[in-house]
Amino acid sequence: MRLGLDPEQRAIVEQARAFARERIGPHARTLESEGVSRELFAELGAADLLGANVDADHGGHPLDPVTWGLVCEEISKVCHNTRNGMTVHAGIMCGTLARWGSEKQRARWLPALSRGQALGAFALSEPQVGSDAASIQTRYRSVDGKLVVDGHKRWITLAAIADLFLVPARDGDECSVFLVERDRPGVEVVPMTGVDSARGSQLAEIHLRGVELDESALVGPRGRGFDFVVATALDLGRYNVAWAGVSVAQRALELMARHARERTQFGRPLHEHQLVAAMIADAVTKVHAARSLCMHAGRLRRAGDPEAIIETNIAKQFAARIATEVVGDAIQVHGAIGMREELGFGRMILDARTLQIIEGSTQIQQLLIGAHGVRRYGGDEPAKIR
Amino acid sequence: MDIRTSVREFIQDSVLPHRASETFADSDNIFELGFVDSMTPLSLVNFLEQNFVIKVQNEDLEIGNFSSIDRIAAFVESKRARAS
Repeated sequence: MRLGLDPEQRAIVEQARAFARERIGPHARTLESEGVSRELFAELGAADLLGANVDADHGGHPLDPVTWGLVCEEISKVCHNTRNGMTVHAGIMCGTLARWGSEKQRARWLPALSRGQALGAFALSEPQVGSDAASIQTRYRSVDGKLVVDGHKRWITLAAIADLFLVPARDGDECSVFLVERDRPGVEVVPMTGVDSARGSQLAEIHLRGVELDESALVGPRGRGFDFVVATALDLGRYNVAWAGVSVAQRALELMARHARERTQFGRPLHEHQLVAAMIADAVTKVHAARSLCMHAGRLRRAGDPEAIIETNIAKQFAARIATEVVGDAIQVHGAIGMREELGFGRMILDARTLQIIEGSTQIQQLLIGAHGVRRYGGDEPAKIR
Repeated sequence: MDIRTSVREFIQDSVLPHRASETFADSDNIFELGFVDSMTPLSLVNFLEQNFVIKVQNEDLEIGNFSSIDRIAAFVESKRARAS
């Protein structure tokens, strides 16, 4: 698929691909069992792959959103766990802090985060709160001029090795977001075990017990955490997850097409059987469509267009769904051979399913997209061409 | 297009369901009409930045700045005045 990249974009994507193949791919299985490491993120930082959402004045290596998406795709092709970490660290933490952090916070953290010498995580989910994120139970209160946070976060990607957490909390009806250092008194991080998907993504629970902060820990104004800061974080995350969907689907398509060319049944290669050819055709169409949606969202993001938010929702919802479908069809084309561990379909199907859950489930995206569709296309006059 | 007209068009396209825009006044509070979703405030910020070439800063994130067409127009005018 021709993407119309300029030479500079192509060079950056090639660099990411080479890094992924040489430095991550050979260790992907170890990363799955032992978890992504601080050393790996230091290497990613040294290769200028973590500062995409940070301006150069704060130590970043800014990339336009399209290039950043393609970089994430290259990483995702070889290691879902590394891409998971990059989504929360380089996407959500760096991007949100760069957008809404105070100058003091940006100067203190963004250079180290961009180099991978400090790691960040987004601590939104809780034991009783997933899709209904506005109902978080973590609380803060004012005590003697301090803000004291108490709560329990769960399913926090990268938290097991992160230095810094972006923590939404409530005080009555208002929500604020805090920057909380791991080594602050009252913070306890407990790595999560016993998960099937994203085993190597350093998932952890975070207990916050009487964590004392002052106003300088607020990201964005007090009380405006959900409207602007959490919304920004989720939007950044969804964009990365959309590209991850493209990556998983394309990998499955490549395996499917290769197998269909090499495997012979009933005296003919599989791809000459029309029902197999139909599955390949559908997979190609889905991958191209998902990539086109991601490219479209990326270009709108580059332009600062407000439509970029809903187009990112659309790209995320579609790419995550078709990833699951294409992996399923790729397994079907392989038959029993698809069960072989070295092909990695088991991990891919889990990865694809996970993409339909994280950063707003498929159903949450459908609610948002459905409401948009009624507004945009439900009028008495035909919708405007923009 | 003046600020109010441009903002109204955005809100009609991106926030309000059909028909509601017919009775929507410049002074009505968008957030009290029950139509906004979790991404509306951020979308509105992006619209203002792109359309009026302003930079919304941390200290501007008072929801009152974005609550009605009147308030948004006043906010944009004040940002422009400070920038000039």
